[in-house]
Amino acid sequence: MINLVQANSWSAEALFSKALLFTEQMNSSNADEWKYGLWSSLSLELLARASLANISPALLAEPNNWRNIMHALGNAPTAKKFTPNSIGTKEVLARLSELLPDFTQEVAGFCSKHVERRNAELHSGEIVFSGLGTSEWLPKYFKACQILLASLGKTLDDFVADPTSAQQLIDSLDDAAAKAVDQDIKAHAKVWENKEEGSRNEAAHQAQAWATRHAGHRAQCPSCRSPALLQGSPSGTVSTTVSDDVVIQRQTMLPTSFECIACGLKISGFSKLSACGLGDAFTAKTTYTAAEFFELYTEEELEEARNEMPEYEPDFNEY
Amino acid sequence: MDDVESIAKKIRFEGYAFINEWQPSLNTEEVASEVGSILDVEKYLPNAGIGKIQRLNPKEPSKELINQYSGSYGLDEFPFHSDLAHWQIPPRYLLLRCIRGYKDVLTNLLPLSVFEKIIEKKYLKFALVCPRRKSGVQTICPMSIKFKTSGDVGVRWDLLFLQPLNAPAREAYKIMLYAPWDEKEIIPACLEKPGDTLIIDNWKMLHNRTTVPFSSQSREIERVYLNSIG
Repeated sequence: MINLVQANSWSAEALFSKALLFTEQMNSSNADEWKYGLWSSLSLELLARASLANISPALLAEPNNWRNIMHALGNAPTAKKFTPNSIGTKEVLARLSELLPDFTQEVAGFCSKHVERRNAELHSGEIVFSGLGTSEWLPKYFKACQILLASLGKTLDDFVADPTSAQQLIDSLDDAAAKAVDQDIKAHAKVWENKEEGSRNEAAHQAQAWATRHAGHRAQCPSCRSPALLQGSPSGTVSTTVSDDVVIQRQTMLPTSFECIACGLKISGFSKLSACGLGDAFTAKTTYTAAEFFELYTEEELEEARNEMPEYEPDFNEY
Repeated sequence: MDDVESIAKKIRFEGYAFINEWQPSLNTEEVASEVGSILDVEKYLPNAGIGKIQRLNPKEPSKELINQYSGSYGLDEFPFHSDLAHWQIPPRYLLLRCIRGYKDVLTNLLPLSVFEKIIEKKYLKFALVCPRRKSGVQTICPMSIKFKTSGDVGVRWDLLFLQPLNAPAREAYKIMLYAPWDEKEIIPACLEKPGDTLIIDNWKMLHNRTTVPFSSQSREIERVYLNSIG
């Protein structure tokens, strides 16, 4: 008899739904925060388990006790104090490598590495995901998700709020032309080295002044090491923090273009930026006053209020 | 429309079937067995004291009935819901049979198409809920509002027995609390005469019961769940 009432915690549906919950937590952080990476690793594990459970929940059962298989099949425990045990994540990935043709050794290798990061984050004092640029793992994460989702009959559309950005990141992995950006960087570096020191210093000084934060995201030029600017396109949700006087909004930006005015290097497109180490997501922060954000008063109204003189009785000695 | 084939066809295409004074000499179990395969609730909830056929009478709200709709809503209008939405797989059909009915108490139906129109796709796709509380050794897992099983898609909805787990579900709850549908989109059904029978596809329609006036409090309906029709 199928259990209509009780959820099977090892079913593909339950595991997928939990993965979805964790992905939502991931997206509630900005991409350059450590929480983003941690939640991604948790959601990836559950998605992998959902894929294996979709073939059969019994594949998740730790084989040392037959009751684990009974639990996997949705049966109530028949022994007192029984706690079901499932196989470790590494074994889940190994089984998927064999059972899903598209889940290649390369993809499994990335997932394994990502799970190791998760373990280090949870079981040690190291903040593993802090300082780990998203270009190193985010495209591969989405690729792994896409393969696992396909095995469940689903797509990125069923899993992430911004499937378009996710697909662009996946596409960047296969963009062979992007690797040619190295040539460009080397060429600009050579021209920079051949300049006179005085010219280089002047150009670097100008770049310093130009690359101010409000005009873009500051990054170091890979050719000449001068301050340069990255522009990006928004991805994911906007987080809003309201305090007494100010409202701060933050949103993850995926890099789209780079420009250095010192050596003239320009790079366009996420694939190329990612290929040369400039593909890490960054956060755009905008600060508003409370009045601006909630449209309490216009500037005109504020100016008018400032200019209003209070009405006093005219001075007159005793009357 | 009295034959099972016509009834099954109507339910398949419209999500419900209403048959006036259908074989009033037969009891609910006999009628249900003619039209489909009965889901015996006792087999799934053996210690709950809930029979295969459930008798529904309007009741005042009380703490003792906290596990039932009457416990919270009493004689007031019930919100739109699907039955046993907190089950992993809710029953496919419910059959309501009038024992003693009144014309001023209606069972309203809200089609899935209207529900999907009201709750935007972006919320419906990602909305996750779970049973509002755990009983015994029950396992609580997140569940999609829109679920797929046995190759068919259904919707579970219950403002009382389910709680939202994430932002899309909370948005869906907020939307439904304000009753944003057009009255013309609601299908009213009145179980008034003995034998009046309403069969609802519980995966494709939400339903409710309107307010029970003082004069109609002796209303009596029998309900049985079905796995399949035809």
